[in-house]
Amino acid sequence: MSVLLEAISTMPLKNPNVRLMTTKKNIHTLSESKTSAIAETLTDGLQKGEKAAQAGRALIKSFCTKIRANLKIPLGNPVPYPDSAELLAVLEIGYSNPVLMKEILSQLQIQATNEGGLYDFLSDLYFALGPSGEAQRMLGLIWAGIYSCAGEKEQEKLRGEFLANSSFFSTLHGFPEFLRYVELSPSITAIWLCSIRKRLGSDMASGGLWSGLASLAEFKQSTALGVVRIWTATRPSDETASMAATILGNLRARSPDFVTDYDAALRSHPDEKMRLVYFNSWIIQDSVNPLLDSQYSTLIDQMGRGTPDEQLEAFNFLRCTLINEKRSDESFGYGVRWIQSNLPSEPTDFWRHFTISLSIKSDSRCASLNLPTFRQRIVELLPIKPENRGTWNELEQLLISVLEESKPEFQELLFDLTRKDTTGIVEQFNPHSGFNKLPATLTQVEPGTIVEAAWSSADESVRHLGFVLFQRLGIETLSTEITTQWNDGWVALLIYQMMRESLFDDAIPRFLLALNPRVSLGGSDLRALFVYEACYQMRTLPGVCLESLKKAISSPKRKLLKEAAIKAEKYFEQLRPCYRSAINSMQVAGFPRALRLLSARRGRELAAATEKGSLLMEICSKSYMLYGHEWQTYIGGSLGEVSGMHEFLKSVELPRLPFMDPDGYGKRMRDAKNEMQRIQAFEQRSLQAKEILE
Amino acid sequence: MSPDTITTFLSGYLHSLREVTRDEKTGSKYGFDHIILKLAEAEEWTPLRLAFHRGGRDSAPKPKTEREHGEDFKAISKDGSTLIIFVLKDEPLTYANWIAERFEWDLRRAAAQDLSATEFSSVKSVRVILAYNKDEDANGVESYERTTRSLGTKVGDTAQLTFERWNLTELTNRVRDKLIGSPALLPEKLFKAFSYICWQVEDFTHGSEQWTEVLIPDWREFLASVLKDPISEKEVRMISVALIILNGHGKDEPAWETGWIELIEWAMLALWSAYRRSRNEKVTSAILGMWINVYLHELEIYYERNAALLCTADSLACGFQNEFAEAISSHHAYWHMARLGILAASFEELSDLFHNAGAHAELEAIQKSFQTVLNTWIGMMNANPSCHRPILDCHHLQLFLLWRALSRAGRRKEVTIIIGSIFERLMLRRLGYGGVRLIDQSNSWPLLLEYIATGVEPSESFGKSSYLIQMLLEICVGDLGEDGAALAEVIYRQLVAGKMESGEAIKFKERVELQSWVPPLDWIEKVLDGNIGNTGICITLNPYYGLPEDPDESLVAKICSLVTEMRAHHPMPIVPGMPLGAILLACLVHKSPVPPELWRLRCGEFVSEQVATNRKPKQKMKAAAKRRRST
Repeated sequence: MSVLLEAISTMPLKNPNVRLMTTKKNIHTLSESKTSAIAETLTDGLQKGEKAAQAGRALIKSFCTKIRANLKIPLGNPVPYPDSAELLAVLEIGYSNPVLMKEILSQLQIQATNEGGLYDFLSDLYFALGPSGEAQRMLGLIWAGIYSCAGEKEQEKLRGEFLANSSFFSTLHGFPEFLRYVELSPSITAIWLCSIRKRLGSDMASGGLWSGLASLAEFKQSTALGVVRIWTATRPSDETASMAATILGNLRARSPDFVTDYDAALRSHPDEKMRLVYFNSWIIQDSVNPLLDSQYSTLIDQMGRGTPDEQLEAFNFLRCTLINEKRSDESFGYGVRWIQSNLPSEPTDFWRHFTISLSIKSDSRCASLNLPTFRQRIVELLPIKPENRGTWNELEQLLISVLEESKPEFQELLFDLTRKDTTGIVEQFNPHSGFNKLPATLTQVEPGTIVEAAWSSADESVRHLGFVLFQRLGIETLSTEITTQWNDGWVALLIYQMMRESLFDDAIPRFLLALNPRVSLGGSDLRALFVYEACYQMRTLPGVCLESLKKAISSPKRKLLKEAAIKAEKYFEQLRPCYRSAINSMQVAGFPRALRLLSARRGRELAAATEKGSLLMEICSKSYMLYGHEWQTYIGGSLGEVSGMHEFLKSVELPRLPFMDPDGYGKRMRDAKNEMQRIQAFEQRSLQAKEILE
Repeated sequence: MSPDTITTFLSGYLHSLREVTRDEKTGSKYGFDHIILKLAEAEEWTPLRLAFHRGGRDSAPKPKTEREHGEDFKAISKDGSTLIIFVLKDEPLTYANWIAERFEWDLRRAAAQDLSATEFSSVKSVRVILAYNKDEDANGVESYERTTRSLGTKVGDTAQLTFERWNLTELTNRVRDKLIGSPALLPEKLFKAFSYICWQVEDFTHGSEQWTEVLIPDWREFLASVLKDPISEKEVRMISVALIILNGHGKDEPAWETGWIELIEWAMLALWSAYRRSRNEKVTSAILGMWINVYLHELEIYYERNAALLCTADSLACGFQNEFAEAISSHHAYWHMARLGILAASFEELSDLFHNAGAHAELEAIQKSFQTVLNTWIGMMNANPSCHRPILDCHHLQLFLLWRALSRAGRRKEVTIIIGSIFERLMLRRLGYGGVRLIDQSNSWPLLLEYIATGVEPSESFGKSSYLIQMLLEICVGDLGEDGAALAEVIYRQLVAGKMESGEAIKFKERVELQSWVPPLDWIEKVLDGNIGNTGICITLNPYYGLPEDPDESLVAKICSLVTEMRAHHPMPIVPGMPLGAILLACLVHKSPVPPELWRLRCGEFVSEQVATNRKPKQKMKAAAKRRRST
């Protein structure tokens, strides 16, 4: 056995049974000593003659064979592959040794000359190894190796292919490592980076680019500064400005002196855009090396004194840097006070989103430092546009955190928010959109009291929220202590408001059952109103209301509901002979066609709503099956598995009467509103009279 | 139809027929000879001799010209043992006719049968039947008895000879028992077309596409072919028999009941059109008889039978639980309102007739019927909100009828309440708080339903013009006193001018323009024949009653001014001596607007206007009429 093979065979390898999976903890790493051992073995082998070189080749071959073998495994099923760390070491060493690199590339059998061949290989490799830091480095190293070995024209071609190739996004993961090793001129880099930024568009998977910029600033400082200078030679676009700021921030964080002159020029530049590059770069700088208090306040002051865009940049700077745990109390306080005093009266979506975000992340620290919390300003941020889902998610997070801290505070905040943006808040409790975690959290904290408080409110919008919560949270009973505080007029007001609410499913019988004990104690007018309304609801919802209440009315305490049920049953009994009788069985000209048109319209609306509400439907292609009741795909020359069809059914009983008498329903709504106004005015006058008497 | 009615109509039909069917220069003349043939076929007798040569396709049978020797029709029983000989006569059996119309001669010849032919070898008896479809008297009958007794009881040596006499009653009974459901009861020429109609009636549902697009056109064509000029009583009677037959074929489903009424309505319209053309008193009297004894009678029975259902809450909307429920229930509601209205208007007319004739018992009965109809109607309106939801502009006819009936009953307050309710709902609809926003001026159910289905307005003009609201305003102002006038002011201000009492503008999507209408001079002919189309003159009233508007002038004054102007320029064409119900039925079926004068003449507020107009110089009236004609 040769010296080289001997050396390798004695190297302790990691447990071969560990699978190379997607998480970092599964990645094998080598100690520096072992990496050096491999390097020594390989270089020695190459230097010590043909025999040793052959051994080196054998080693490389074995690694490369494993890589290629892994490429043939279907996605998501990587084979046990314990040698990635070793291979990475080999690649790193190989990069500094062109002979070795050529050998590696030869063994890997990469058809770099084929159009897109390199990137297809890199993409396959990336998916075969699974996303990990090591995989990204491997990609970058192989990419850099091939690029460095290529001629000038080939390099240009490779740069172009990278942009055009369908594997762009997976290869981009190797970009930081690529920029670390490859020598590129500032002009080429500047143009290429702009093209990459353009190619990315608004795609979220842009981490490779930003890490690449950091890598460039760290390992190729002159090139990096050269790139920034090129970009800022003229007024930069938004895209180049943000990239320039990233590079500048990284350069300053690592070598402040290197950019001192350039900083000075930008800071006092007459063009606001140039100054924004400068200010923006401090966010990166701060993330690497937190700023001193004096730097922090000076910077905020500079931005705060500037144009509206510079003030917005100050907020942007603060929302990124305030949450840094290393931020001193002084700087934190300074930043918080600045935001509080500069919150616009009509905030933009950006202000809305990140103020709520800051509230979640910084309010507890504000409270501990006796600073005003952001939570106190949240109401001012509303209304939030329905399409700004991210901001609504942030608000939901905030509400959950407040609820976990204090239920009364949560209730107060929720009611205040509702008063400010009733439609927006109420929509969030819609079961098909909006908040999805908060309702579940609420059910764990006896939400009935919140509903009771809402229904006790003089504010109609808050009571409306109460009905929405009642519907969503499945509340069944009300506290006698609270309901007895309501006078008959107030209970009637709630009944009238219920008429106007879009309660569905079991919410109506729940409401009637919950209110029944209080109504039973009321006067004859209230009882009559309750029976009338219960009977209406039973008539309009015979399934969900009449049938379910019939099961619950045996108790003598529920005689009012029983009375209503008897009336409703009589109504249906009288109606039964009318179904398809001689008075209503004639057909109407044009009805079958109209029915078909309505059905087509409903189908279109349903499809649009489904696609709008489903991320999966937006991404996936849609096939309309012509025949058969099972399906199979034919992709890439092979048939997939046979799958059955799945049917999803959801049925809700719709109220009958609004369909049968829509204008009557409109009249009912209007009458209920008038009654509510009348009662509320009376209550207010009573309250005023009471106050005067007291 | 009741058995008595059926018997009466059958008897009338048979009575009207001749002895034999033939084509004459003046048109086809129908005889009862073919009915005798059908009766024989029903008895499974084999015809040996017909009184006619069978006609070809679409042509009438031709009478035989050779001497029949008293045998108008001869048949043999299925087992060959009985020979049956018919002697047919379309004259009354009287002593005078016994000789003059050859009753005796024909009977004797019929009894003298030669049974020597081989086909009669098994004949054991001979039945000679004298069938006549007219009256008889005692002398005529005695002559028959005496003659038949003298003719003995045998033919040849062995065959038994018997005589029978089928008078109109016997004929009617036999036809009712054997042929009542058969299209063959009608003349052979009409058999094919009518058989197809019977088949359709058995198969199609009332209101379906097949019903409206196939059956009704075929039925109308059939009616037109029967009621070709010159019309005699026979044709009118034939329509009644056709209806009797159709009723027996109706599809076995609840919708047939309303379908049956619609078929009668088309028949009545065809008859009323014939009534207008005919100078024959028998014809007009038969049509009037059918109007009362078939149409009004059937309507009354239908509403007696279904009153309880109609007065059940939401009965007209039940069974529909989608976006179309409001429109379908409104369709049903206004269908019934129209028929109840026609019934009430007809009872009202009959009541006046009985009153003038001093027929107290009849008057009392008809007034009771009128009240019953009105109660059913109001009960239906109270139970079904769709009655307060006019959806098509032509629904003004039903509201006109409602006002007319309630006004007659002295229940004007209820009219005010109902119009108030309709206005309130129209406001909510236009504001988008529920239901179809506007009243469809195109009067088309298919377009309206398509609008509901798609949400796309069927035309640019959708709901932007209203004759219905104009009529309500005129009725409020003209007949409902101060309350009505006040309501009219509110309706006009809010629904038309789009302003609240405070002067604040109501945010309607569009403005609705009021319109009035002047019927053409030959309106009655057009409406009866279904050619009303877009005839007459449309009077646009936007901005209301001319520019500039006098802000101090009341709506009442403006409406009175309009009425005066219209009367001055467009005198109402003379309405012929026809029942108002029939005219309104024509308006309903052919979707004609109700001429404004039909309500204005009953509005107290406009009567003085009428008087004033009448006082105007005749020259002016003539000139106005001339202008109309040239227009």
